[in-house]
Amino acid sequence: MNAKFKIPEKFVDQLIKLPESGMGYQLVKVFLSNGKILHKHKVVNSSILLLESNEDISSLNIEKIELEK
Amino acid sequence: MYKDLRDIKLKADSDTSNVYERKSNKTGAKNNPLVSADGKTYYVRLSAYEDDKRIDVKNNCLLPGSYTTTKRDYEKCVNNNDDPVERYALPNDEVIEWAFHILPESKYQYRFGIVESAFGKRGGGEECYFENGTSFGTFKKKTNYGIFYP
Repeated sequence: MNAKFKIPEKFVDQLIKLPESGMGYQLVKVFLSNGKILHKHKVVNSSILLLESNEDISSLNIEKIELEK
Repeated sequence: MYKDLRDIKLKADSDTSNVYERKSNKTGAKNNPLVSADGKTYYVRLSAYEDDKRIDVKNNCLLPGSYTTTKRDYEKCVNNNDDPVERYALPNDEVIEWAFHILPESKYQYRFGIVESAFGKRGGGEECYFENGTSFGTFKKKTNYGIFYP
């Protein structure tokens, strides 16, 4: 089971304007403030980021989210 | 020309739950041409979330860039006791609890396809991609999963 991270509202507003990858989810690239990029991550309901087991929720300071190409 | 196989071994199951991309059988809706709604057929969006963000409850419509399935495929999924998470290859295992019933006007177009396997889920359900969403008033009803409407 993936850990879940509730995405800040300003990114939710952006995500609901972007197309889905399938019913109820988007594949995204997440740019963190520490320079790290999370590739091919899943966002469900344009508002909840699913994390891998080795990813730390507490260090998630999101700078930008883009749809994965 | 054939070669005799001397030995075949089954590979141990590997965890495919983190495989992100859809397998590219090119059956998915986004790869297919636009088709027109007939103004009489319902489409159903399934969700684990009662406040599904792609349903605009202020204007009662589906937002652009959103997916649904067809009413017939939803009914087939329910009647066959199929698992919607598998059928629609959803990335998480949350239980689908809600169905949003949408009746697009005939002027609206969408892309129709068959859900490709992804995230270790088999796919195979019908999917409809509404690039431009649907017009105001086309979201008709929210029900619990398993309820048919109308």
